[in-house]
Amino acid sequence: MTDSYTAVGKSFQRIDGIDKVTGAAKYATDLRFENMLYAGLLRSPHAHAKVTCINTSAAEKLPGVKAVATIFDVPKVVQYWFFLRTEKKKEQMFLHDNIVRFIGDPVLAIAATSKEMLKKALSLVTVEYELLKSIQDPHTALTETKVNIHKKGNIAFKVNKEFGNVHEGFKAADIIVENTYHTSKQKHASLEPIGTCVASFQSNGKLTVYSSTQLPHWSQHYLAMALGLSLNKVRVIKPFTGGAFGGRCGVIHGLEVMCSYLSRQTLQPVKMSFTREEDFSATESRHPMTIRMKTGATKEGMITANKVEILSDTGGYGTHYIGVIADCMSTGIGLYNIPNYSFSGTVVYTNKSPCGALRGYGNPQMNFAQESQIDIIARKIGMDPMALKLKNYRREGEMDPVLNELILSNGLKECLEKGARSCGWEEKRLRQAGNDLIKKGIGLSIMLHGTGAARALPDPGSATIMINSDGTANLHTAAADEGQGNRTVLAQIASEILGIEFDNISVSETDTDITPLDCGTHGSRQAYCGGLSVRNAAMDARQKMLNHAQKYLKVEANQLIIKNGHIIEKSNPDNNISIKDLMQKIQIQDMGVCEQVIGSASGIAPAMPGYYGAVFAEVEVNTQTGRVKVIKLTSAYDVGKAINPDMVRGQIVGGGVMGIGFALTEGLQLKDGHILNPNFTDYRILRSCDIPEIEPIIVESNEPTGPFGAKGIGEGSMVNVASAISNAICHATGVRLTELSITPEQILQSIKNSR
Amino acid sequence: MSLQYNLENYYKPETMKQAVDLLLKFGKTAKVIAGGTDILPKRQCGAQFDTITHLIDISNLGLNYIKESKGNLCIGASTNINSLVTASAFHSNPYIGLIEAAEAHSTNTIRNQATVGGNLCNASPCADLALPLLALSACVVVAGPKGNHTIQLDTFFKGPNCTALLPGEILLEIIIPNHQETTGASFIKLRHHQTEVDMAVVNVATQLLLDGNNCLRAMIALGSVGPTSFLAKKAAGILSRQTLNKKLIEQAAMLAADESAPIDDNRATAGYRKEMAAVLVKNSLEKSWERSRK
Amino acid sequence: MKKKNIWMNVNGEWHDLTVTLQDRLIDTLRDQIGLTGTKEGCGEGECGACTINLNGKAVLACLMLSVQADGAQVTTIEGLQNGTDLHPLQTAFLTESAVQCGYCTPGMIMAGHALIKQNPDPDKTTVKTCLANNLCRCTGYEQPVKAVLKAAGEMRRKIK
Repeated sequence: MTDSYTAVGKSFQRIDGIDKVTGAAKYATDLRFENMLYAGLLRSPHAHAKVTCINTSAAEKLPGVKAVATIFDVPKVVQYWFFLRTEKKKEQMFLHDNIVRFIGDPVLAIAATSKEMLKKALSLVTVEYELLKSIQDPHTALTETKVNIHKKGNIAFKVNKEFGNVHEGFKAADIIVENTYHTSKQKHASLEPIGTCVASFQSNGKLTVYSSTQLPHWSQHYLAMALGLSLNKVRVIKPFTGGAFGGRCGVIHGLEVMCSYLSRQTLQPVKMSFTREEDFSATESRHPMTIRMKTGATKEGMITANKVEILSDTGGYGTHYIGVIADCMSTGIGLYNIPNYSFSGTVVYTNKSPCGALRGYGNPQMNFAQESQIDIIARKIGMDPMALKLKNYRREGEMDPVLNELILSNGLKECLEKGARSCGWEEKRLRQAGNDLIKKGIGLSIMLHGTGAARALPDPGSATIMINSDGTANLHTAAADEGQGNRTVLAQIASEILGIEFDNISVSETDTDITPLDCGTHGSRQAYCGGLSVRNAAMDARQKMLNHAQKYLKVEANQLIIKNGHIIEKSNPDNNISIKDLMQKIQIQDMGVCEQVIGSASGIAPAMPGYYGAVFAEVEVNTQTGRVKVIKLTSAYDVGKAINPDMVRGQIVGGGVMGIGFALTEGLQLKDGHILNPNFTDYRILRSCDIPEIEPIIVESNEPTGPFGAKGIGEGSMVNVASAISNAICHATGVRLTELSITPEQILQSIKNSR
Repeated sequence: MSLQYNLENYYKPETMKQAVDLLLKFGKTAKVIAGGTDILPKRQCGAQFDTITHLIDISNLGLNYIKESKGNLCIGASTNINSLVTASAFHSNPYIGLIEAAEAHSTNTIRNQATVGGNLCNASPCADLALPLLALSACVVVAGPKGNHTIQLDTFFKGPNCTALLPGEILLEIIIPNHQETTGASFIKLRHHQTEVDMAVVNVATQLLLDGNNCLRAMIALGSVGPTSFLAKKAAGILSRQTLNKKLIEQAAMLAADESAPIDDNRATAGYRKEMAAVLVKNSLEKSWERSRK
Repeated sequence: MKKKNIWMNVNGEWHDLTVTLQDRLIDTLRDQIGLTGTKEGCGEGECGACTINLNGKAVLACLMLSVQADGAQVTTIEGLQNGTDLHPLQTAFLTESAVQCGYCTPGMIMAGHALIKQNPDPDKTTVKTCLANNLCRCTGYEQPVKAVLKAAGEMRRKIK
């Protein structure tokens, strides 16, 4: 089947590749404009305080200082686009008060003519604070009644759901496993620091913001609301972006809104760039969670019940906390067919840096706990973990009770079988490998992640395709590409349907003035949701081309096909016309027509299909030091259909490395609200010399609702890596770790305790 | 991101006297710069450079060399760390630990800029190069207002980011005395999981001069487990003039750990460090012993 | 603010420059000469996005003052291509899918460039060690390492 495609399933080079390898690509940090001002933030040194007085008079007397904006002037954006749905909800989008809620919370911004002047001006500002008691521990936040971080209290959100009857489920179980798991405050650590934008307010009343946002249209909405502008007066342009991973899912705390205010005051472009330290200590991170899980199973290996209680810590603010905890629930329940399942989630505020979206959303945390539980059960009943998973996973044709959707494609079994064969699972699992000093082990974990967010969130996707008079095409889409390669993949889909060569399709910049409404890039959605929009727009354009061709080929449109750039009569291939000639005729030559073929599409995806994956991790554990080395990952993922296999493999390998980090090396460390490791020396992300062999395996289950069968991959590839590694450590040493990131010390202590 | 200093001047003296005069003249506001990899980044491990307004670049003073002199091996202070790895002079038994430490230091790219003298003068408690140099009984030559003098490396480190250098003094050269080929040496660095590039949790260098299985001299240097890198002399003492055996090595390792005084930080707890000090000393001694027999 | 005159050969062209003492080499390259291909990811020498070649060696432009580079020969990512012909390293990064977000790419390529100059036939371990100062959060390094190996092979073939 693949062979019949000309563009889909082929590893085309990325369309923006040459710009990137030559240094020509301009990222937000590279932008400079005439008369541009430099802005920077003064941040709170206190974890929790009331700002009582801000004195900027000395700073404002400096010759190069052009504007000042404080938290008294500028509101904070504290929710995500789910809250754009109603007028009442919109009110909750913003918070405008004088409280600072974490160390690094912005207090004011200054715009000056040079970086040096800015530095000097910021040093001249004095701020008076009334200190408030700070809450660092999420459990304290839960019980503390006298200190309220937000007006409504310290509890941001609560959810309770029960499917089936858990009480009965545990009664039917032969064994019950109960544990508490902790996960870390992981950081995106994209190579371009989070937090650069240029805002330019012109005297005609139009605001243009260059921002490396994943969600250009929602950023446009937030900015319009914050500044009281209509949407046609706000233009968001996304330049090249140096990685995102969820860290740019909206406007950044203290960035775009502040810059826009400063630009409105000065009518000059204003640029603000966070340092790496600011990125680490004052932008969003992964929600740390405490997960209590009680799981019951029969000795034959049927999981009868799972009871989950999660406490999630969103820090001083949290834009995505509802979505993240909901993701824990849907991915946990969706993966296995456990008849009795109860889920209770509580999100609290603490006086720490805020949390938000990070690759996997709530899934990596949930997956670590649940896949550890399943592994423990397998050990206890003496069953191969793979067999246990195969017995209980939710199959194609079954209902997903949370999403209330039928599962139309699930390639998990193939992922497991191919992965197991490739890594030698059975043999390695049986072998007690290694010597007394170095223990070897192999572990397995599976995952499900949703593609997009149709019906769970406002999740529009749109595309416009214009066919040029020489038969080439321009695709307009706001499917923000932070490096994954969406723009390339979407061009491939357009090429396949239009019969126009890949090289002859250009993809627009991401610019809300030019590109139609798109939810942006989150939730592994662009190959699927973006792909569907582009597919539909291309079908629209294709039909229009065929309709025009009727006149010249003198046959009905339904008798025509497009092949190799030509429109051909099915039964008489000699009767054909090239797209190029047809477009020349209808757009220019035939003065009675003069019409450009424009295809367009907009709407939501028909589903939120799950994509699946299995990771087999092989580790060596040094029992003298507790040091772990991952030797190999075999990562098999069901992506529906790989539109561009090289890019899919790139996601699998990159996600694998980020997953190893989540398991073993990463996580912000805090003391009294201070982040102790806000730099790459102390926050360890893996380097080229550290990586094990990673074997990516692509499984194609052909999702019926997807474009050419495609669904997602971006986030899933890191979701189940940490649990696979933890399971492998247990296989090697017999000890079970319940806290991420795992430290050598924990392992050593656990080994000692087990003796 | 920008430079942390408010520099008033930058000098690149041509003679040592000029350099010393400049350092004396500007006192606490002046700092020597060689590779710059420790003093240019904003974040410092404990060092306060807020007062620095004058940088004295020593790269024109001809201190970039590795040579033999009077049977000793001499390393110019501004020799970059990668040069140690490629220098043939160190590719023999007693100096292997120095090569191992050089290769364990940061990354290939940083080592193009970072200098041997800089690693010592920064006096980080976890400095990798300090350990094999301590174990090799190296000393340093210092230039100053009163001329040149020599300091045993063992007494050079005074605290985190603090050395025995007095105002106006510059590190010129590191001198490594000659060692017999029957000396076995090794350097071991414990890092966090998975990483090959990181500051040490514990690092250790040892050296054993043997006559058969008789230990004529033992040296044990430890890093990251105290305010400075140091020689564990008591531990080394119980090995000297003894017939080596596994048990004795284990005893020495325990004793070395007792001599350490680690703290908790974001890399590890003091307790873990102490425990690992014993493990690393044991492993390093065994390795050095084995190498001495080759 | 104190200024100094320096000259520097950047990508084959000599520049007379007036720099402040505060200016790091990366500031001069990006802000004064306008070569923004050299990226800043941390400003502390940890991420390698600012890796350039200085007198043939890979160095970090954020860990060097511009005054220290007086008289130096500097090559940045913009200096690799010959007209519209890409350098074999640039081509290999494209064909091996070694580029995702692209922010680390210039630094990676410059680290590879210095390596191949020094060692025209590196093995995989050497390349992994050589790229150790270049953080990448997207690719997982597999493809960039392959790309440097491929480019080295290509360059050897061309010389023959």
